[in-house]
Amino acid sequence: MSRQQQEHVSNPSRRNFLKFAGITGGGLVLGVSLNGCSSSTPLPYSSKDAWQPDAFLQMTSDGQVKFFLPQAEMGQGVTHGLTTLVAEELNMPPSDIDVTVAGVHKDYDVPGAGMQVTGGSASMRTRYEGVRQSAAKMRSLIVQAAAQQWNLPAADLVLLDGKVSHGDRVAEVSEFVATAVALPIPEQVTLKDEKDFRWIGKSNQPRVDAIAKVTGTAEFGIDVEIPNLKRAALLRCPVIGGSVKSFNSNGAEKALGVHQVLSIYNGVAVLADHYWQAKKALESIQVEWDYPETLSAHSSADIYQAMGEALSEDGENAFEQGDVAQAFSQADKTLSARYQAPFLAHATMEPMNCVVHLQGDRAEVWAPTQAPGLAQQIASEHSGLDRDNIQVHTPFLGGGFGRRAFHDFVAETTAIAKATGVPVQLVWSREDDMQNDYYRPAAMAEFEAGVDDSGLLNSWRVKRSGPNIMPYMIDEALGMLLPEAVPQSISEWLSKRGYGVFDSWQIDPASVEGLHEDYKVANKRVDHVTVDPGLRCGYWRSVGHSFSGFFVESFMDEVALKTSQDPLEFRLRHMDDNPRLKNVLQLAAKQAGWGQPKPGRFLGLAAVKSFESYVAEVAEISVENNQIKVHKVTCAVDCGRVVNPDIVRTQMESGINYGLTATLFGDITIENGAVKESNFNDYPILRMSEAPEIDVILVDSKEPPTGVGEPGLPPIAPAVANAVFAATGQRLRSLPLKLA
Amino acid sequence: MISFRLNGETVSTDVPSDTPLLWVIREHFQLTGSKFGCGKGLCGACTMHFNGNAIRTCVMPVAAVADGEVTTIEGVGQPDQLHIVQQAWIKHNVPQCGYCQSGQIMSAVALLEQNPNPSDEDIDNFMSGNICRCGTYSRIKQAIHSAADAKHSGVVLFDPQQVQGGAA
Repeated sequence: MSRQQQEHVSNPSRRNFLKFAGITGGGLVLGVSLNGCSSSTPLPYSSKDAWQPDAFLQMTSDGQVKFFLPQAEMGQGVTHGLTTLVAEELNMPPSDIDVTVAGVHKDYDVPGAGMQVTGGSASMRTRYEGVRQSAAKMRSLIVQAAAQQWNLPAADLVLLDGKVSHGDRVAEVSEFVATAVALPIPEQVTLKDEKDFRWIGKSNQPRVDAIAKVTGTAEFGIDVEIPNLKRAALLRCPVIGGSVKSFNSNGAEKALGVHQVLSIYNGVAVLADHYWQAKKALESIQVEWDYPETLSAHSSADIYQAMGEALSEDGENAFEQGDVAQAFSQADKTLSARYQAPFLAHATMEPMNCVVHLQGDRAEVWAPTQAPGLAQQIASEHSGLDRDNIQVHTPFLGGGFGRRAFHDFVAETTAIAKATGVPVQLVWSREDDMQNDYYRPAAMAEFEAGVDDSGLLNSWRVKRSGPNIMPYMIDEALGMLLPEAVPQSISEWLSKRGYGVFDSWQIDPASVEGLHEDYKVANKRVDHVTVDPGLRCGYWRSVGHSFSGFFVESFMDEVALKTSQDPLEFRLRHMDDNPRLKNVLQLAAKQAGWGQPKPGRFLGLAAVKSFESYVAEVAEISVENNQIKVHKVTCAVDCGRVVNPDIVRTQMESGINYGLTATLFGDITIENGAVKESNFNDYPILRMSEAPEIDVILVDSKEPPTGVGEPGLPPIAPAVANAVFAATGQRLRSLPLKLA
Repeated sequence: MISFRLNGETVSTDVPSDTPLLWVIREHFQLTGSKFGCGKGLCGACTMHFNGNAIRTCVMPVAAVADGEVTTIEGVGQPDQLHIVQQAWIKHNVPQCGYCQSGQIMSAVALLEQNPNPSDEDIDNFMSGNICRCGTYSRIKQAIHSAADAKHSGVVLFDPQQVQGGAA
């Protein structure tokens, strides 16, 4: 038992909280893949009739370019984004490229991540060079093949829109495929010069997935149809982690269309011809549950009380610079404040669902997933089949936001398919989805700042308390991170004790990210105390920044105003080491008319760097009848080179509106371990009448591109909260914002 | 046996009369453009037209549409023959994940049929039953205005055969 565990046990008020959660490792874990399929494993979707120089691109004998998209499309625009790169290097329109989401293969692992995953706003950042190289190699090989066939220098040939030409001589690329196949693949080729860009940096093409998505023809997981598919619905324990002690079907198996009523590891399933038959049959089933002990002992009030009390403990040190204690003693003025953020559900529009077809020693899985390799692993654990014999297909995701990095829905579907022996689709109800999420962890933090006599911060101390994501990710991913030679019983045992395996890593980076990084202060310290009631937590759009952005940017506002400084000027004084963040803050403030709000309107601002992108936002609000109305948000973003300007704008809009739901409404509450919220009536989502006008400014940059799926979110809650203070004098330190 | 007209064709089904129309359309008639979102009529992902009105079909028993006219997203326009509202959606780059967009478009088409020149407030009121988790609201609003204007002027907002840009 570690020192920290002993401390926790000795604290009587925290007796029923999980003791392990603070001692697990960070995102580091994902980089420790010890195996995975070898590079000699055949590529999924490869074809004998097509030329495929690498995992990403294929050219059929008739010249059709196929791009195997190594990332999941969940709305963020990665299909169009990465296809733009292919189109640019192959010098052809993105709409002429046939895009298929890649299957599972080591060659599709995210560079540096050791696994195939869509998250961390990393797709454009990690794929920009590699995808362009891949397409540029294909271009180079086709041109070389043409040069060989025509006996001309390659430099004299032009590849344009699927044709090779030399003066008046023009031929389709298909004429050169057979020759290209035999050519050696170059290690490295020269990429297109940016002055010749036709697609990168321009908004001259609709998204390649747009037509399918306005005609109802885009295939989501829930739309997958295969022969003899049966539909399932599942009744789960009201407290996540419970299991079936006994059940009485009350004749549910005799209902029209119902084939079978069966219990699996976490509930009772009905298998029927149609979803509605299965769903309706669930209503008559009575279950006696085995409730999970730890989580069942908790309700929201005691969880927040324990998180608050934990802030008086020492905790684990996450970051230290300079001498904070001495700096505080020398400060002209010291200030402190405590902030709080709740558990949140992802509430993707498409509820969780999955199709599993077990076929002897092989299987096919259709999973709307952000990590198909994990889906494969989970299906393997629950079917007993080898990973390499399970083919995962990834359709469009009806929203992801981090929820679909976890695969309980794949586990359940596989368990039902194994028990019934038929191809199964499991569809979750909205209530299932709301009450069985991997929640954004609740968080509480105590901030202290010391200000010197010139009004500059000389010291910054933060302590965060709350649960961590990592134990739940380890539980999910350990099987994949271990060599396949480790027997499943051992990996299951380790999975339940992942905290012990990763004992040496003390702090989950996702719990403390963003708490100190953006501003220049000589003396800083960040500490962490884990308080985990056992409600499973997961990655939620912008992860730790989703709460730390609110905390830090609210506190900066407080310190500025309490030392009689303008919130903009005060921030700028501490941003000399952070010129890109400083720049977006200045741009947004100027565009929004900082200092000159319209009559009856109030402005608040915030700036956060997250996932290597820099975003500042200014919220324009009014308060009428004690209601907060957000009228307009001005946003400036620096994400390096902008590949698709309009997709960057849409992602800022999306992050802002997703963040506004959390700012104004989002609150998952617990009663005796069960999530109380169930649907959009008690977990409201921002609606059109509540959505602001959004003005996005893109910084023109030649820095390497960085992601945009998440960074638009962190600044919105503090920008609104700061505007609310300007409007009412009420400093709201807890999300969602509620006026007194 | 319940009969109704589906996208202009007469169809019939023998499912129990309380089966929600959404599941009948998705699983029995294999039109999967209409989506399941909440099952309580709260999010609008399942929106279809019944006798020209936008309805939430996840809570509409199939018996309620007997002998009536049901239109789904598939009946509004096809990839090679886009409705002006679908064109406007593409022009304004509305869809992100796209899951709610069939329902959004069905609501917008119904709105414009009832009110050819909606104000921002009219749009807010009519469209607030449709949730979009990707937050595409401001673009939906612009697209509805564009579609309204184009309906009057007869302008084509998007033609897949005429994708612009990309001059080499």
